[in-house]
Amino acid sequence: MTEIRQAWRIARTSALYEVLQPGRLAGVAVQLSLQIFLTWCLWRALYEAVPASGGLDRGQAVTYTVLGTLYGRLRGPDRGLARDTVVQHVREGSILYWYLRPVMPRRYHWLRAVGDQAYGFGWALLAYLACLSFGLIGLPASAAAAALFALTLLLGQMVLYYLLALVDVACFWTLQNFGVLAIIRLVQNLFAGAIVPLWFLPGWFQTLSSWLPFEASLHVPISLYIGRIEPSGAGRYVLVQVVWVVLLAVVLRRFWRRADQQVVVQGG
Amino acid sequence: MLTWRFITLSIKSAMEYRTDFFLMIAVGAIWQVTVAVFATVLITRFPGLGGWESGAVLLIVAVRMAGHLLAAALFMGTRQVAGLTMEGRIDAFLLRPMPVYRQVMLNSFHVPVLGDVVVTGLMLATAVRLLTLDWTAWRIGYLVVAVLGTMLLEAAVQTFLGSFALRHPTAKLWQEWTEDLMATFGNYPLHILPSLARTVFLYVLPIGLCGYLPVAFLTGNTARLPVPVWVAAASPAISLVLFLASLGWWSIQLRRYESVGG
Repeated sequence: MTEIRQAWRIARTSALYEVLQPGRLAGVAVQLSLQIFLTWCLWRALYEAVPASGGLDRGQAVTYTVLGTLYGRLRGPDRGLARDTVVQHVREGSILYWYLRPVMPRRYHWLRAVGDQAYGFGWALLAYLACLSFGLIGLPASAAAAALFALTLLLGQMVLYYLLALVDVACFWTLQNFGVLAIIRLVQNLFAGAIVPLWFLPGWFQTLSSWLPFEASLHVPISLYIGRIEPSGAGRYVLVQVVWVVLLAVVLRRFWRRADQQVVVQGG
Repeated sequence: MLTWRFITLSIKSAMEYRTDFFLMIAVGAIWQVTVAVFATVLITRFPGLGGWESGAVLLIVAVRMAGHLLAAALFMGTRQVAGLTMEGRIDAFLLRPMPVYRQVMLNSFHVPVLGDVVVTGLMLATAVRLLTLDWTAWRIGYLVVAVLGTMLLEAAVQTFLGSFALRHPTAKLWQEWTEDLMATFGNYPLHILPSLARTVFLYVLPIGLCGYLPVAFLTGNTARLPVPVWVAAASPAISLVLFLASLGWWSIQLRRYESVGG
């Protein structure tokens, strides 16, 4: 029981940044609402001239891009503002406290990430329900599509966690990882389909993307949701996601082990 | 002289972490590539966007990207106000013999602009090549002015929001969000949007001033403009006025500045 309480207290940390500041909470709500509305307007306007493009009709494209907007919230609140990212702790020496607490650093990092993503998911879910009730997006293509959407979304979030965790741990060596983090974020957005649905991009790009871990987090779940990927053809995508989850988990475990052995506390 | 020393010091500081320096150059290029990908998809998958030829739409993208490049090179400091305030560094700026705004702008060199240059140049060249326009001296001159106007508009928006960051660090989140909005929605003819969204982008967050309006005037696509043609032509001047107003707002906010140290 004590362990669960401890985990809960750690996981909720980032969420409290926003929850305890009504202004910030309202800001997030306004930003998300406007972003959804504008995305919806844009893609409806684009489809005025063409009935279908990239194998997507207007309803599918609007649903894809609006859900893609919600995806941006899944990472949780911005920890940089509270000077609470791993790279900031490493640079400022406060990473020391991670090693003094009665929780292993890797477990602490994981609990924080789970809390962040769960909080972000709460926002995304609320916005999703609002979009559905206003008729901005459609329902899943079928019951099977909905189930596979949930499964691939979960696997995709695991892939995303491992990727971001690897970048975090890498800064134990590099001390400065803004460049790597920014590249990962941009490449992630591009290959995940957050900038533009991957169905609009050339075939070679889609093939390349299908072997990378990024599309697992957004493109695959949403394509299943809108029926662009048939449930019968989902096996390959799920397999690729599972392979990436296992591979990245093993690499992260090794990274953490080495990081623990050579952590440098700046200034002491 | 002092300004030049600030610039060289911030470049030296950026080069201290050599690997990150080069990665940040790559960041600039990749960021612009993502914008270019979005624009290319719009043009190829949805031809005749808003009744404009592809070259004209691409020119909106190129002008906005070039303006963003200059704004990132000269005014990126506006995005760092929250961090500088929280670290108490604004206090030190107030004691030095140089305007605080200039010190904030010169505080660090935004490395990704080096990567931005290549992609922006390519976009601009492609757009000019696709357009069937006679590139007379006044048109080239107006194009340069349009890019400068775009830079000033972006600087005005970020200075206005950055002023709030002197007192409320969360303003940084609004700055990032606004930049994302400008990068996403500033790349196409705004008249394709419903009137509510169009009004927002012309009168609340005037993204239309960077790219859409000046390019509409330059290329003669004025038939469906939501504002009079002379307003479109004068959009760089309007951006200048907004920038000067944002500087005034910065001064007001700076007078109310309270150190985090008490």
